[in-house]
Amino acid sequence: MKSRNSILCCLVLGAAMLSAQPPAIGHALFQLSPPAVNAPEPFFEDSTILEVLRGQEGTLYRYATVAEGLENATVVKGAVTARESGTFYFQGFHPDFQPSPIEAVTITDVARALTIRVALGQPPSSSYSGKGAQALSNRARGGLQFRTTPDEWLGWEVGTLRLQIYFEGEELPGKLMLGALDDTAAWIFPPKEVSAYQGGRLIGRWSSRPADKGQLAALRLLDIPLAGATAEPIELEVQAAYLPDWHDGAGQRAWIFLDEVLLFPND
Amino acid sequence: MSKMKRRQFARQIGLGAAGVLAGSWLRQPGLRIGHGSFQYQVDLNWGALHKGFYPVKDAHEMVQDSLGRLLLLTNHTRNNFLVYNKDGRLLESWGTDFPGAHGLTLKNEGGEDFLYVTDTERNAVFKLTRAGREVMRLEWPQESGLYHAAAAYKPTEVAVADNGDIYVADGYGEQYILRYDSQGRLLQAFGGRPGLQNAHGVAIDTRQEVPTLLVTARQQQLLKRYTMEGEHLEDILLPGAFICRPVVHRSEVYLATIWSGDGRAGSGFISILDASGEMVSAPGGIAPVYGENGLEPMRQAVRVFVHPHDVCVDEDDNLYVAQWNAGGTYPIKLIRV
Repeated sequence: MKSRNSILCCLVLGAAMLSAQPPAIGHALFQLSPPAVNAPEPFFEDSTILEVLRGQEGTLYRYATVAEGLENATVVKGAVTARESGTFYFQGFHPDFQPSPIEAVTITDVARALTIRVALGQPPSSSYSGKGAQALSNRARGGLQFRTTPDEWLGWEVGTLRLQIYFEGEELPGKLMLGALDDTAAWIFPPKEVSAYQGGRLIGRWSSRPADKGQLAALRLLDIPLAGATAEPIELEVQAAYLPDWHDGAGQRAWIFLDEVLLFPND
Repeated sequence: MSKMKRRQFARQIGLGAAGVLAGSWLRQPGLRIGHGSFQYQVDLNWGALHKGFYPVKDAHEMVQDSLGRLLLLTNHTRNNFLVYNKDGRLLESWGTDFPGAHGLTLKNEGGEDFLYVTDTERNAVFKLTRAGREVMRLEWPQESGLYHAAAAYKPTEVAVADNGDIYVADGYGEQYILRYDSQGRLLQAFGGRPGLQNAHGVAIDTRQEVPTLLVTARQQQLLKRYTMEGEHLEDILLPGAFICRPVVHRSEVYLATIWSGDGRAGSGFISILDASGEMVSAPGGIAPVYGENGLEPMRQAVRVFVHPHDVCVDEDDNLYVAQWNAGGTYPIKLIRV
C-alpha cells in the first residue's frame, strides 16, 4: 500500500486511540493545515499583535499560552494583542477535518536587550550569506522559508561555528537568545549544542533534544542563561547537529541557520 | 517469479495491506477540494503499488501518451518510469539510467511519441522513444559561453514547439532558458538571474493564435510569459504559490504548487489559472481572492498534498498529481466533479 496512506492511517488511528470518540466519517481522514499566524513584530518593545489568516472555510481557531487542551482554549476573534514575551499556541478545528497541527509563535520583548555587534568566526556559505553579520543583530527574524528572506539568514555547513559578541552599556548580560531555523526537510537543524564563554570560562550552555520525524519547520529561539558574566566579549561555540537515523541523510552533518542574537541584562 | 506474476503479487499485497490497515476509512466518500467549477474528489488509492517492488524516490512528473497511458517519471533507478492505464493499473515499468530524473515532456512528432527527460545529476537532457530508446542527447551548453562546467547545468524541464525548437529550463542551475533547434543545435539563451530565479518549468502556451512561452519562476512566485524568441512579455503574480511547471490544458493552466504561504515544508496545493491568468481554483488551498493588490497571498488549507511537483490532466479533466519528497508515494488522482 501507499506509504502516504500508511501515514494518514497512522494519524487517524493515533487520533482515534487518543480520543474517546471515533474519527468522524467523511473528510476526517484529512487534517486541517496549520494556522497561518501573522506576527509582524516578533521582537517588540511595547506590544505586538498576532493575527490568524484565512484558512479552510468554516475553521474555528483557538489559542493559548500552553500547548495542551487547545480544543477548549480561547477562540480567536480578530487580532490577539500581546504585551509580554512568550509563546502563543494556535490550533484550527473544523467538524469535517482532523484538527490542525499546533502552530507555536514566540514573541520577545526586546525593550531591555543590550546593543550588540556580532563578529563571525567563519564566513557563512556563499549561498546563504544574508546581509552579513549585521543580520544577526538587526532585530529582524528570517522567515520559515529561508529562501524567501535571504537577507536575514546566515547558513553554515560546518562542524563548529564560532561567533564573538561585543556589547555596549553598563549592564552585565544575564541571558543570551539565539535565533535558529529548524527545517529538517531542508537538512537544517538547530545546533546540537551552544556554549558561551568569556576568556575561556564557560558561562552558559544549551543542548538540543532529538528532532522528531515529521515535525514541522519552526523558528527556534534558543534560551541560554548566562552565569557570572562580566563585561568581556562573549564567544559562542555552536556545534552542528547530525542528521538522525530516520532522516534521508542519516549520519551526515546538518546545516546551521541563524538569524538573530539577543543579549539581555541580568534581571 | 515471472514479471507478470510479480506484478499481480505486488498488487495483491498492496491491496491486502491497504485493506487490513485502512479498513473502511479509505472507502469512505472522498473529500471534495477545489473552487468554483474546478472541484475534484480525492482518490488516494489510484496507482498504489508495493514499494518493495516498484519503489519511488520522488514522483517528479507525469504525462499522458497518445495511447492514453499515464507515464510517471521517478528518480529511482530501479524504475525511472511507471506506466499506468487510467484506472491506475500498472502496465509496465522501465528505466534505470536517470538518477536525477526530473522533467518529463511528451511531444508527438510526426505521429510518434517522444519523451524528453531532464536529469539534474547527469546534467543533460535525453530524448527517448516511447519504448525508452535514446535518440538524442543535449549535453551541457558549453557553446553558450554562460557555463563553466557541466555541474553548473541542472536542467529541470523541456518544452517542444511545433516547429521542433526545444526549450530547456535550467531551473536548478544558472536559470537560463536554452533554445535549441530540432537537431539539438543551440540557438539562443535568455533569462538567467536575477530576473529568473528557480526557473523550474517551461511550457508552450498555444491558447492564442500566436504561441508564447510560459516559464515558472518558482522562488519568485511568478509565472512569466515570453515570446518564442525570448522577449519578456508579462509576469503573472501568484504570491504564496511556489509553482513548478505550467501545464496548459483547454483554456486553463494547471500548476503543481510545491510550497505555499511562508514556504514551509508540506504546504503544497494545486493552482488553476483561467485564460486571463487569474487563479480560479486551488485544490487543497484556500479559496483564491483578488483584492486591490491582486491575488491575496495563497496557502494550503487542508493537508491533502505534501509537495506536489507536477499535474497531468487527462481528456476527462481529471488530475494526476506527482509529488516530490512525499515518502516515496504514488500519484494522487483528483476526479473532476
